[in-house]
Amino acid sequence: MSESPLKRIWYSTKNLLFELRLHKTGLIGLIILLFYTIVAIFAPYIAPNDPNKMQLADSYAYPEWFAIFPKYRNLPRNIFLNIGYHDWSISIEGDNLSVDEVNGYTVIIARCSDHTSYGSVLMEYSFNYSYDPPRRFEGEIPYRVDIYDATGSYVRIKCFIITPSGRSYELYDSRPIAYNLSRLDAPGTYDARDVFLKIKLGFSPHDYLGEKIFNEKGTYTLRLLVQVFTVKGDGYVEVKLANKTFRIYGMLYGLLGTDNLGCDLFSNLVYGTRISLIVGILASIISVSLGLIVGLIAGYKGGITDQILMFFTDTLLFMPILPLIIAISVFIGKSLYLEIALIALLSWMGLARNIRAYVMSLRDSMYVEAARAIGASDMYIVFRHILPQLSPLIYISLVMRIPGAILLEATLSFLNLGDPSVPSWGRMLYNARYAGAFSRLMWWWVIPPGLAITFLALAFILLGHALDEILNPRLRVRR
Amino acid sequence: MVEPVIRVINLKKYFPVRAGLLDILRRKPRLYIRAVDGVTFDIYEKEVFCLAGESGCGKTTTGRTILRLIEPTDGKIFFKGEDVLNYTNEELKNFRRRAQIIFQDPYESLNPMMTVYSIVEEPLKVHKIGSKEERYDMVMRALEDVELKPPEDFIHRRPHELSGGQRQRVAIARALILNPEFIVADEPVSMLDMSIRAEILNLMLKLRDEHSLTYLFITHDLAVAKYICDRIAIMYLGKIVELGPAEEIIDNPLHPYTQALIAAVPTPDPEEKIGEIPIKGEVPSPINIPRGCRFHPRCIYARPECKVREPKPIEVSKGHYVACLLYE
Repeated sequence: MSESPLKRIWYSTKNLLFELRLHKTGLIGLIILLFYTIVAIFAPYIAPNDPNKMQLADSYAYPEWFAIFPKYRNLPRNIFLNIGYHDWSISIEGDNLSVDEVNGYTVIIARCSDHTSYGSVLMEYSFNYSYDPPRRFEGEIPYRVDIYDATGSYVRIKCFIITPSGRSYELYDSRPIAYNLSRLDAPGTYDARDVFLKIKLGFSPHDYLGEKIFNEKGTYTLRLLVQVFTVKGDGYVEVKLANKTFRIYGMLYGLLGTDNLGCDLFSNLVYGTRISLIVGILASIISVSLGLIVGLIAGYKGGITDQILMFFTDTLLFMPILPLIIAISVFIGKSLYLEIALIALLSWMGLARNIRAYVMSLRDSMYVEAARAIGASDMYIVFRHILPQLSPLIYISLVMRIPGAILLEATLSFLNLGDPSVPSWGRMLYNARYAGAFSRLMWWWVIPPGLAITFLALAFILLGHALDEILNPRLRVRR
Repeated sequence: MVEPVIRVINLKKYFPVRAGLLDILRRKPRLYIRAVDGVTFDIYEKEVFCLAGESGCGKTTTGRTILRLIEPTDGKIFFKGEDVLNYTNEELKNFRRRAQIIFQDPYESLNPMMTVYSIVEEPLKVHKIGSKEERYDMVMRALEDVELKPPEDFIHRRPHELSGGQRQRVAIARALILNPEFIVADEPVSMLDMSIRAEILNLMLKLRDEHSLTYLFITHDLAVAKYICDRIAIMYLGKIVELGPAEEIIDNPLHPYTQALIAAVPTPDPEEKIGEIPIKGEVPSPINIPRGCRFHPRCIYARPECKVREPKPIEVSKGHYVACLLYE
């Protein structure tokens, strides 16, 4: 005859969804919410990158689709080269040298002979560059030098880039390496932002090296020169080169460009959905449960219990929430779950008061007294007669509390009080402000997270109003 | 002598008046509403005992205090010789099975979210009686007892789908399903239409005979009281002023207050005017109960002595008590 509670909840949820179909606003809210949920669940598949991965392109890159406008058409794209043994064109000078591929490495071996000798290996790689000058490029030459029984021998590795017009720039010079030295773990790198490199090449520290070197369109050549000097004896010198990388950072990237650290803004936006939903839903559940428990106990028990609980509630209610959270998070630290807990702990008071008032009127109702006359315990009365009456209020406040929590989380992150490792929309906005996106008018950075927050909050508010109308049928008469 | 089902001795219930902070600081004496102020009566088996009086005279409080829905301030209550006020929790739960209440307002005393079946089944669930199937049979029988026939038509309805009379029948079924011996009926028909009242009253009398019930019937309507009750107690400001067999109280009222009440009962004859009602003024506040006889400010026979001395109930004829200085 009587159904199990689980079944009852399922039936009431089904009915609720069915009723929601008839409410246009509720349906819109539900659709928006469904969209966000799908984005949040499938974020790893939708977002092309890890939101925290830096240097995906140059910082402040424009969105890729800007290329349809003539002004942005020729902006540099990402050119990431990874040059291995088979890509190089290699020429050897010197009779005691041999170049071979071993396990993916390019290995140069110079055997000692009965006289000191001097040889070199020249490796060249050409690529085409047809965009505007980039601001930045960088490269790595992971190498390792081993000198066996040939003390006094040395190796010197240099890297050049040669422009289409034939100018050569020396990007890297290892200086003579006369001892066993591993540079595989800490590869010899060069970076266009390096001030010493700029000065060495004869430019001002304020110049962008990329703009100076890549100011022509055409075929550029990367040249790697390995010079080996061997002493007399029967030892040998081994130089092991891993794949050389060379990266020109583009100014067009992804759907929404990059931020000041070269992180993909679109991935940040997608992952932000997760954070906002988690914060909103968790904070709302915790705060509604707290409000429910406090309100129920205060309202049902009454008397001194009620007065003590309400004193606490009122004290918290009159606290300025934002300064309080700022103070607490400054002292305790920044963590997403701390943030959720703080938001929840400081937002249950209004509901507690509502529920207390409602429970007080229910407690004195005749059917509760009838239940007491039957001999029902307090627990029974609360669960059987009071909670079911509260359920509309609980449903509605669960939904209506979410946008507030989402906005508060965004506010905190915007004030740099959020967890800096968590990709939230508030953090995006904070970074935008911090990095000057507002003054650069980078609307593709600022507007998407703002809109995302607005629409998510809107979805919950629409849903909440629809629920309100369904669960409080008296409101329906007015329309 | 026969043991009474309920024996109430000098029952008192004072509700404290909420005092403001200022009053506490000024050390004003705490004020009390003396809702029930020393009530004594016995109810015998299979009897319908009636508490009648104006609204606010404490009859409902008396009824609830007897069932311990309200804790009394003072006095003693015995249920078949057991001291109700000294019950342990276990005994109290058992007492709840044996003594039940029917409320005045059938629109409020049924939970609007529950079906008729779960409302009537609830007492069985609370007391963990029977298996699911047994409970089903018991609910059906109870519904048939209160003449909700066929019960299958009603069990899935919710209270708002029932008429007032049907709701009150559901409330009676809920009270009956535990097979109680004693029922407090708190104005069970005052919210119902005239046409339904008689049906419900007859149903209650029939149930008394079938289940050998004892009723404490609370009403402000002396016509109803005369119809259903064996004995009537008239209450005024928390005290019983007259107690006796129903016929005698109605036909031969002795206390001036009872006389006034009976004079005020309208007759269904449009020609007949309601005569002068022998009473003056309004009911005084139960916070400031007048000294002496508490009825004296309104009594047309009041003598100077009435302002000083409080009357004690005296037996005028057999089983007919009246508390009035006129008869001492």
